[in-house]
Amino acid sequence: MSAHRVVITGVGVAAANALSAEELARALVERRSGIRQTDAFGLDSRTRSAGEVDLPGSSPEGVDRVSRLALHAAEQALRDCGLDLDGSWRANTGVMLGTSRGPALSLERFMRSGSEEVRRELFAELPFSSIARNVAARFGLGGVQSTVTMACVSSSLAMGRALDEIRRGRASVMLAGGADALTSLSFSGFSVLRAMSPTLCRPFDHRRNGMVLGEGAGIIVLEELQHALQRGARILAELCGWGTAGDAYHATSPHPEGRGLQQAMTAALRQSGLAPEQIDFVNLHGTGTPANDPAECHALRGVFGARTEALPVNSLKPYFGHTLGASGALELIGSVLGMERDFIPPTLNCEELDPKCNVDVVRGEGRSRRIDVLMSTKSAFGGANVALVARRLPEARRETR
Amino acid sequence: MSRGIVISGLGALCPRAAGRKALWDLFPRDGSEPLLPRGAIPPALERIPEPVLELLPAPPRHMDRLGRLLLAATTLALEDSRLGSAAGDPLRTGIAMGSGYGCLPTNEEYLEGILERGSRYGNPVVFQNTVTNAATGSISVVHDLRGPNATLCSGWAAGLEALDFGCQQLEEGLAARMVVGSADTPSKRLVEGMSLQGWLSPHGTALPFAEDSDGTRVSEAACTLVLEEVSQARARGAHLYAEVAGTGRRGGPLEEQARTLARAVSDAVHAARIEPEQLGAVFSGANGRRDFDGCEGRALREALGPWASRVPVTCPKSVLGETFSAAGPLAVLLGALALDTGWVPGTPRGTIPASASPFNLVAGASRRLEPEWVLITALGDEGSALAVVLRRSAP
Repeated sequence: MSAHRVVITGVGVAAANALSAEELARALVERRSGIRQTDAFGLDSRTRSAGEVDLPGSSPEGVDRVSRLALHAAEQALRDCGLDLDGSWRANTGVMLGTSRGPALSLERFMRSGSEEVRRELFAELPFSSIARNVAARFGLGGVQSTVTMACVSSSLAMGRALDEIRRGRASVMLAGGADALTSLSFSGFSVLRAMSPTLCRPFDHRRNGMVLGEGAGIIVLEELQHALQRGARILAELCGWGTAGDAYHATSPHPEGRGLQQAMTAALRQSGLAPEQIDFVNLHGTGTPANDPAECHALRGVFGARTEALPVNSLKPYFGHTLGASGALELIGSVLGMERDFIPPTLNCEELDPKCNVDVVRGEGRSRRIDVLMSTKSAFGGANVALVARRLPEARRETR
Repeated sequence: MSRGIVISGLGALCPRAAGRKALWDLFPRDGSEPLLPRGAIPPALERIPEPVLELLPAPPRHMDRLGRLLLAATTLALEDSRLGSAAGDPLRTGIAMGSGYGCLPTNEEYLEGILERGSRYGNPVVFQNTVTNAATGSISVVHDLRGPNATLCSGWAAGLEALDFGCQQLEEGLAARMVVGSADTPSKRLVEGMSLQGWLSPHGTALPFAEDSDGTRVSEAACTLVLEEVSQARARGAHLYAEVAGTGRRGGPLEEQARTLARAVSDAVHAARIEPEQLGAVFSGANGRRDFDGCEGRALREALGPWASRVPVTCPKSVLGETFSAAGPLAVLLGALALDTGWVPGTPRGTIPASASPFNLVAGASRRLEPEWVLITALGDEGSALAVVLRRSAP
């Protein structure tokens, strides 16, 4: 099999604390969270804290909010990558996006509306695939279109599959990532499951009591290495491997020993051609729920063994909330932006480490440190797990963003 | 395919058939024709009767209808592959499932509850199924599938995309066996939306490529296939229904769907390293909607050239209805059985005026054609198109 190398040449974000990659990088350095009280849903849930995005007014109307978030991030990513937006490359550029809740707001409108005309218009938005379709149509991208719906690992799997498309020589450029909007469905559901924190998202802290929801989108432009080098592209990082595996354990709880996550990490390392000791930092899922965080730490030990205690890890969810299907992409982007700046963003709100999470959680001011290779892991309902590996590319042209 | 990948297990669930044999029997070869489900069937949506589901292994209580359908089809496929309820080495056995509309019906159910009673009265059992991968997750628990895990929701072509993903995992050695499939269980609101688009036949029929076609008929269905690397399947003495010789996957603007599908077909034929003239049959995704079938027809003519009008073409949706993402795997199942038995399923004669059709349609009873290669097509509703070429498996 051909194994083309694949690099990230553009990133775009829509998050509660940032509407661009530059803003996100700055927010991570300044430890600025976008979590705030919201009345968007007027719900009697356990909490009103959320990471709500202030989308610019120029966002197109007539599509679901989740697509609007994705369109915002996609436009930035495409501009960031420096490709000519009218170029012929678009004809074979694919779109692989992930989402957990998809166009749930349109579904709610469809259900509430008594007008046939409104329902007829909304119908096109109802399939989950409408997000990728809307992005492809807006930017005239004619390559493969794919939509992954795997709860919180959705965008991670989408990016992994996009990586494979280029590795296998099926495409030279791919747009990949994911999006999710805040909805009454998820606000209510996680609340009745008592998975939401009434206070703060505190990953790995012994007082952690749940997640804080967020919304957003993260989209990256993946490009075949030679394609990028030939046009003199700015290269943010190489995406060098990924892996997926199931826990086969429980519908909503992770396997206590992170069984599937260990396997996903091992598969990602294998595809990367890297050994565990070459990983410098791991961005974990870190939801702040009692069950998730210790399971992830257990999985780390299973892969990294005695080295685990010297391996810095973090969670970025306190910055913009748990953005569900978008979290994999947003958090990979945040991690890669940190790598570019030789900085590991700290895990906000983690003050007293839970002994069950006895790993090197980066806290406080963050850590200045050169990172050559990082891993980002995500886990989801249904026992789905994905790990991605990205590394600094020494031969690439790098510019300060 | 760089590695030989074979189909060693077939599982299907439709309103009038549970299991591979029952499905195959919907397409008789004894001179009688497939039954045209006209009149007695409600025109909007044909659902799988509850007693059919109750005959199958009891699913975990929390599973929604989509999950129950997929679990039933998966159990049938694993049993058919003679793996029993266990799928072999769990770490090397993965699962990839597709769905066009996924958990939208369950999301409707959850939303109905909170819109009526308030958000704090949401049903937590329903909520855990409001992610489409809940089905994949629960099936992996029941059958201990701990390898690669994916749930795809790329419209109506998602079932063949899951197959493509499974083949890729096997090709790269990331799994020794992949359980792949798809299901859709349309809700009343989805059917209502389709009706508003004018997609549904007022007569409850699906008449692909027919002069009097007036829309399609919607049906629930699930279909699962077991994929294995050929040497491993042979080593355990599995029955090899067919080999997956090539796949093609393309995307593009909705207004260029015919061209997109044509490119997918060409890719699949190219990957199989054959010429179009070697195809012994085409399992078309045509469904009775004039716009949809027009794309299908133009794509076949563009990709297959003159052979498009000569190769025998069958349209399973004339019997099974539009089953969305499940239609692709169902056609693969029928294609595999066609290669395995030498009989290509027919379509009800009354639906297709052969003189008006540009294709050599297999009208009436199933026909003894003994194909060595067959093509399966699936056109998405969002711009995706997939094609699969199967080859008769060497004994």
